Amino acid sequence: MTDLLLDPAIRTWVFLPIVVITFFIGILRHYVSLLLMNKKKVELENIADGQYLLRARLLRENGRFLPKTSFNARRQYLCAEETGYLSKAQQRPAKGPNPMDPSQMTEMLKGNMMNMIPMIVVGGWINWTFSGFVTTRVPFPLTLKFKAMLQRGVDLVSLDSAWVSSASWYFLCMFGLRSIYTLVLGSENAADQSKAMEDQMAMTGSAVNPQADPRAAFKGEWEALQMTQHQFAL
Amino acid sequence: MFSKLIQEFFPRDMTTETDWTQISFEEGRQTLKKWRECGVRRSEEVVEIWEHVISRSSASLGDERWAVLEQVCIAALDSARVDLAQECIDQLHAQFPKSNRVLKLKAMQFESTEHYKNALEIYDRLVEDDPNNNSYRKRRVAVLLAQGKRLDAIKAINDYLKIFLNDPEAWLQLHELFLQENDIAKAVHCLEECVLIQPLNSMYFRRLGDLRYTQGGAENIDYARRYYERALKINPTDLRSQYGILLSNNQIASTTKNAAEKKKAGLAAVEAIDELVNRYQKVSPQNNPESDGILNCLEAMKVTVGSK
Repeated sequence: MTDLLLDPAIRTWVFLPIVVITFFIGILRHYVSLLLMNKKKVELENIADGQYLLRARLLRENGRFLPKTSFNARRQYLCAEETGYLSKAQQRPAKGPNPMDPSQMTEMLKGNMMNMIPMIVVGGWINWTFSGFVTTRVPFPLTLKFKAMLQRGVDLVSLDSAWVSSASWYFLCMFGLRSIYTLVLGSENAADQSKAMEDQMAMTGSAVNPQADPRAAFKGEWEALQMTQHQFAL
Repeated sequence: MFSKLIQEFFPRDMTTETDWTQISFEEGRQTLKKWRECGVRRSEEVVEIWEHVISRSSASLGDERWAVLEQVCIAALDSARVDLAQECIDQLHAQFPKSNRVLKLKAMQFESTEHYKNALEIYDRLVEDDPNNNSYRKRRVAVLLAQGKRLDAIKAINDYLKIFLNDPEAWLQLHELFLQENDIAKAVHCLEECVLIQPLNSMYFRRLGDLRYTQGGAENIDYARRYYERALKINPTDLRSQYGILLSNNQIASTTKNAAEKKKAGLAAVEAIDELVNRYQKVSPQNNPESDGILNCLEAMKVTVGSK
């Protein structure tokens, strides 16, 4: 089978520009996000809430090392009807992030913009400008399944799946430049798209989120602590 | 044998003397990084590494330089090198003129020269500015301790613990303060908090055992024995817990009315003595000149305990 020969001009005018553009967009993204984002302010009360929740959990888990009187005193301190921190925290009026609060809105908007604009605008532009090129080839054979991933925008049935199209090359660069950003910008950078995406996933998945309604967490912890049977382990 | 024991008790780099003035730049950098991250207090070595190795080409540290400067500054204050600390603070201040972290270093400098009032003023301002940062509050307690104001320090730690109540360091400090005030019950409470937070630290259990033993009474001695056993289980080389087991069992054997209990405690005490004898026999007399005397003492004790 004769090998496919690529025009050197594709290297100069498609392959390299995509790498360079993706890289500089990342850098730009980093600095713009530095400019727009103000540091997340955590309220002192939120910290205390988290600490008390943690403490209730620790008491449940490690309370078995304490004598019964000590355990009960601590449980009383946390759960007592009127004075216990957990009980009081359940009575507090709900705060949470108010979707109507304009400052919250802009914060959310900024975050979304930082993610969406590069994705849509740059991705679309690259797709439009550089579409339809076969840019490079991965140096190992791949199965047919990879065609959808590596040859977006080039629908040739007979093309070997090791070839990479320009649109796919853009995505590969976008996700693969993380270590280079770390090299250039240091480890705490906001340039990386894939990291932002991971953050979003983690946000929806994680259980303890300081912004989420703490009352439910307090209620759960309060119930669990009430249920705990003390058994001296030593 | 001797070296093996030493290895057991001390990590390697404490016995093999390293000449910190002769190491390479990269090595010094790595060492400082390690110590900085683990929070090791080896101030004089840090100052040595800085002066002889790193400071010659500190520009090549890049951004790490500021963290190193902060570390060196604290180490310099700790080893009474006022000149070096001033130098570090000046450099940091030039780079970060409005930083709270640099301000904290300045306050620590005031502390080291015993200008406690100025230091407290700065800390108060810092706490007000950033109430979430617990290090400023902790420094304030440290100032009160240095001034010897125990009751004020207790009050300050109490306030601190109302918010950051999962800080074992603070609970341990409070425990020591209560001990100095001879308030054993409260000290026990503080230690129990530490146990809740870090249930695998044998020191907390051992100290709890000590305190319960000191409080006395059948129930407390029983707790003491359990705590000592727990401490020994976590850390089998803990000699003091072994002694604790011996003493508490001995106490139980001589006070309890229950015959079966008495016998059991007596046997456990003898077992503890055997274990101790075993430990001391492994130490050569050159290493610990006291060991012969202790051995004799233990043997004599074994006779009296066994006869009960």
